[in-house]
Amino acid sequence: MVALGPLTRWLRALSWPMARAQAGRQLLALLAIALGVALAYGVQLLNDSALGEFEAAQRQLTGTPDLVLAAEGGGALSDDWPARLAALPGVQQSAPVLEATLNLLPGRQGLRLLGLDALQSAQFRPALLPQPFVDQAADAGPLALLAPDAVYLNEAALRLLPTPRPSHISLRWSAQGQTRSASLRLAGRVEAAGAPLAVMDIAGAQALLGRLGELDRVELRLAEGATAPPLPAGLKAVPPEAGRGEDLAALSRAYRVNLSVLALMALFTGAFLVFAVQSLAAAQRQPQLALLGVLGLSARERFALVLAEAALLGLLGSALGLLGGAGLAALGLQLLDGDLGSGLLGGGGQSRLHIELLPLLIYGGLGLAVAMLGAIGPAWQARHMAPAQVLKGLGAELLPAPPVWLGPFLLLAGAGLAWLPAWGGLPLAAYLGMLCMLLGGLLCVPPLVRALGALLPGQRHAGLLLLRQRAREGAGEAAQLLAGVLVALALSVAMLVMIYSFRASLSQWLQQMLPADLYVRSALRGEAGLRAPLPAEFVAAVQRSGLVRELQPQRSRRIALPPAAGEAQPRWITLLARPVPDESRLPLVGERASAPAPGLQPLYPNEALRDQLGLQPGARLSLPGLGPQGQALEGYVRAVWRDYSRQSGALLIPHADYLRASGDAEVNELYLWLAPGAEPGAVQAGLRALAGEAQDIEQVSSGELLAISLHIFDRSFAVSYWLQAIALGLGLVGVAATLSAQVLSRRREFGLLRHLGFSRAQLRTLLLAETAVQTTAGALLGLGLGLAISAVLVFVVNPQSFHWSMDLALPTARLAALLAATLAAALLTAWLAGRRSLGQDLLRAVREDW
Amino acid sequence: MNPPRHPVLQARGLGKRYGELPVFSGISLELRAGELVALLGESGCGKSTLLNCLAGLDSVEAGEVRLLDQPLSALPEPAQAALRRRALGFVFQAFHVLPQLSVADNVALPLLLLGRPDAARVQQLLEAVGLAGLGERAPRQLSGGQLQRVAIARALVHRPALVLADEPTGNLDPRHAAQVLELLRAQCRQEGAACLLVTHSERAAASADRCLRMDAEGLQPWSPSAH
Repeated sequence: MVALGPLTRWLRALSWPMARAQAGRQLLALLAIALGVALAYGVQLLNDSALGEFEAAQRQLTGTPDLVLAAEGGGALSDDWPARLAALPGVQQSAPVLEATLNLLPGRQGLRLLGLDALQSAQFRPALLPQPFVDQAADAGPLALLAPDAVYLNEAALRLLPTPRPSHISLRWSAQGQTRSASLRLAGRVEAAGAPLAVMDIAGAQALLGRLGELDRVELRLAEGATAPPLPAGLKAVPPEAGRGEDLAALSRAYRVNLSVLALMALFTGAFLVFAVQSLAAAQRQPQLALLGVLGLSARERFALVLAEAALLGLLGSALGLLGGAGLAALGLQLLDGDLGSGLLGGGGQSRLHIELLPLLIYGGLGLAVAMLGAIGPAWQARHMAPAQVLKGLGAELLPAPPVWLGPFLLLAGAGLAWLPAWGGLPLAAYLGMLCMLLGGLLCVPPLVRALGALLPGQRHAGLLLLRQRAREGAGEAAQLLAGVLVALALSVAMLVMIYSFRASLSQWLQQMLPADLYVRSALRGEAGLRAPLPAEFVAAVQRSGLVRELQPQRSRRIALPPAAGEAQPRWITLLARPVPDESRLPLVGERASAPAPGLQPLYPNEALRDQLGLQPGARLSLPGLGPQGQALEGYVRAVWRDYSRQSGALLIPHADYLRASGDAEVNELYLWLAPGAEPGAVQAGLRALAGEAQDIEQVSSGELLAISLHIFDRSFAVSYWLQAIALGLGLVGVAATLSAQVLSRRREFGLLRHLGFSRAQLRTLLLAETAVQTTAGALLGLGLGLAISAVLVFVVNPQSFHWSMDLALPTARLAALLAATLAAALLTAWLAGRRSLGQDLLRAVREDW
Repeated sequence: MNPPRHPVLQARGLGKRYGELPVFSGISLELRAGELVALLGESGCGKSTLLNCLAGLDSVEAGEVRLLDQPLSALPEPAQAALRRRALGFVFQAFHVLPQLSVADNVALPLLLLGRPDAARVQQLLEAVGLAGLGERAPRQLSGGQLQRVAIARALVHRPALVLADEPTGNLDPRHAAQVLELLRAQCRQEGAACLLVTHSERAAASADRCLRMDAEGLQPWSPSAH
């Protein structure tokens, strides 16, 4: 163990002047660490902040009830329950809740309405306590809160209103197949954060929603130390709403993990830059470290000194990176949603930064670890050098070359790891496999450079001879030179191929799932906040109108599957009932099964449901409670379909089978085919006329839907393009830094060549040709690795993260452009670095001390 | 001539080989405080290797090196480094000064490694080697002769018991070489340090208290007047 006191002294007296002398290169390493940490921490912080805000809002809404009770059958409760429950032993308070989702006019944005007993609920949900506006407070008596026409909005809902603030708000919604409207007096605000919310007295809410005497749930607060009373018949305990935050966190986790991994890849690329800078700086410093060794600095002390320098660099870089990450996250919250444009958290409300200690330590520690890892090789060299030999110029201790089998072994190990199943729902083994592939690829650089060099003729031409020799002798250094750019190129190729494949598959999927010319759905919200069904008279009117050549209905609703073995709660899934006239037009994946028994209806689970329930084609599946009399449908898995519109479970069923089994004729969407020659604009106007209230329906053409979907897709992946560019930029900076350092360390060699008659231009050409050999090897390896990693992303990471499979598609023109641009940029960088470094006085270098 | 004092360095029966190739064997040597010994020999006979072995920078296959009565060759590497830091000074043919440190900081380096910074002592040495006023200069602003003076000051600043000088005038012209040798001798005397001077120059060897010649047989006493 080296004492801290002397180490600090040596850092100040020896390392600091050295760092100042190499300020540019040290700054680059610092920047690489800071940038990597900033990106990784920024992505994490952005998502943590958005999720934290969402969960805080959920907690405010839910408060702290000890028990939430709902009707056992899932229907409404009668409003005498709160009084009956309050009489139970141990119950201190009981508060009724009625809930609905309405549309706020004129924009028809969704607005969650809670009907509460303000006096009871405010006891444990202070954020929902109505607060009259200051200008109305004087008129508000103590009973103002109970006024049946008064509504109180939270900040997000108030932001949806025009300015100046209106005295009344208009609402529209759908209930029991009827469209309803109402106007309420805007009386004040509630503190609750999060998505748009309205609160009113429960009696007013019952009257408004036409649900007199009904409640959705009752919340209980128990007396201190009391245990939960036995539940009366007809009631069941339901989990508080806070769980929804966890669901969303789980839903967005895969997206966040993928982005974080991309950001970590930037840090990983930075690590190679740090390694290149440190090892070349150490190579330059070898004689100086050797002198210190001769003067009495022990091997362990030299090792500690080099590592301590790296630790300082890492600490500083991490600190800068954490600051930068917080800045990036703050900027991101201003410009994007916390889900980086993925739409998974639904936006709503302004998020604040949620900085917590643990992520701060983890990402700060990562920056430090990267710097230390980058310095281990140079520190090892400093420790194992023979000072007297080095001072005599008889060569330094080289890092032991890894065994030749290690590169191919890591490549194979990576390929094997990539196909392991997900751990905890995340493709961690696949990521580990990708890391192994990258490291294996790096270890394959030297043999590939040697092989390329051996292809050169080199017996008669001095330049070619030197080039051949350099390819053979300097192949190890080539790995350092190319490490950053190879990793960045491989990742860029992988992302390019994955995104292109995903986009192509999505485009094809949209065309299969949306075959009609026009789609119509309700603009209003209905049951459980979902889109309301279209009014039956509107559907009938469209059928009668002759506006369209063909019409197909789609019914979508939530249904509960019985709890699986070991689960307490039923599993809620989306059921989509639509005509399936031609199965080949569905985006089916894998095999199709025949009915295992007569009378079973064909069912099509999406990939998420298949993975959740372990369903395979041919498996039997029962759907209970489809109709009002609890009708069930017995079916079998005909095939699995690809579903890019959700990551949760969904089941597609032929509409006729659904109608027969459930008797439910409601329709949520209409698929319309226009008659030949029909003018789309005229048809849309005709449909609006049929709707009565034109803004109650939303219409979109297939072209618009395709464009919107692809726009959202592109927006979601915009961040990844930036991360790729940054990683490539870091790689190129690494080439420049490494090459400059290599030229500096070879100044005596170049000086000798100048003495022997090489011109500066010839030296520059030689250097450029050397770099060309090395970067060609790097580009070929980068391309190969990138394609391998893209296969892992397409066939493993995406299915494991999102339950989305896709077909591999190669953007050959873009890949060629990326490859050419990287090669050109690397050569330009090499030329500039060589021009600068070779411009110095090489002739003097031959006589220089060091 | 002052009478020889206590032994600073004792080497007994040293043997060294590189693989199958023997470099030297049966080398014994003793240096006493204040004594200047010149070591001559043909190129490749192992003089520098012997110097490295005496300093603990290279290992020996046979024999023992004792520095200030401590078994240097048997000590673990950290203890060897610590003893070297305290008791040895080095002067090389190439000057080996750190380019990013000032002249004064280069001279102060051994004191820094010992944790005993002493600006006055550094100034004293700079004056002694004729570099007063040049302490703040960068090494690149000095001539070869001046750089070797910096190296001599650095070798003596921490009052080592022994200075090992490996062809310290090899890169200098005869006039500067003579000046540097005289300086090295005078300073070693003044500081009471023993000095082992490896040289090819018989003229340089003539200024030593005694001379040794190294060849395949080992170390032999040698007298410049006899040649």
